Amino acid sequence: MRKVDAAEWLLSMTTTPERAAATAGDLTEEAPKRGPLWFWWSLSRTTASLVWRTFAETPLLTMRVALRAFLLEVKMLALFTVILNGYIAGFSLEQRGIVLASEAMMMGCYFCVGELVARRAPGRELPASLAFFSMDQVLRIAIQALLPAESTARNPALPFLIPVLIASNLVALFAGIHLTRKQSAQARPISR
Amino acid sequence: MSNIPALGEFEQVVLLAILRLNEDAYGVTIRNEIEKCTGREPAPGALYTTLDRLEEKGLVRSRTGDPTPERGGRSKRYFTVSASGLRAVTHAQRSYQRLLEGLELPGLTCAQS
Repeated sequence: MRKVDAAEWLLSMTTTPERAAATAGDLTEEAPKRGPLWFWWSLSRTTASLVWRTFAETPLLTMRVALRAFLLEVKMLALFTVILNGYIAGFSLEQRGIVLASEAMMMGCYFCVGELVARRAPGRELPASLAFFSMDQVLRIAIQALLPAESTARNPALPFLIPVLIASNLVALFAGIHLTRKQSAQARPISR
Repeated sequence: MSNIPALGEFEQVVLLAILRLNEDAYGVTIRNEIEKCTGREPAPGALYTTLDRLEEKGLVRSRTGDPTPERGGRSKRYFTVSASGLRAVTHAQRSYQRLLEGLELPGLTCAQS
């Protein structure tokens, strides 16, 4: 993926496709003069500004989509809990198979959330995803606080696994967004 | 007079830069013009969000140019100031001029409108 494509992809999650393409083009045009570091720094700042603007101008709309995504996650988590309790009860958290199975389910859940966000908030996927992710982290902290201390303390690898698990969940989320947008674009071709 | 939209300082700077550039106003040239005239390098994020806001207020119009290879095949988004944009920036600048009238600032001669 060329850097202009990456920039356009990221920006299109915060604004219209035409504006995203023009902005990515502007940054690409200036990059040879100002350097690659400037390109990525400017892209980050532009994306952050557009995310903030979406939150400021359409807070209710963005939060509604994030809340829908969160409710979907809660429903799926409840379903996973039933499956895990019903079929593999008796396994403990430190068993690798359980961690992998639950993570695969979580990735599936994040993928579905990505699909929902892309359908419900086209051009605002990034702010809605960030709002969802914040709600998700609050839920996780609450679950951790409610779980008995020994269930998390028994697995010494868990603190190291957490960043990997979060990253893989986010990859699944953006894959869901990307594939849904691709399908929408194929269904409704846009001339550029 | 009352239906002329109020403009922020950076909005005025952007509108004036677009007016100076005539037909060649797009993201890169607007940034460079602002930097050249004010000595300040505007943050790209601030510039694009301001341009979007001005367009949504109807103060500027945009059109898409042809894609070029140095831009990775992406089109330029050219901006022009609309009639209401011109009214708004003129009104804002008159206000500044009225504030300046009678003042003697070092190195500044106030042009009479």
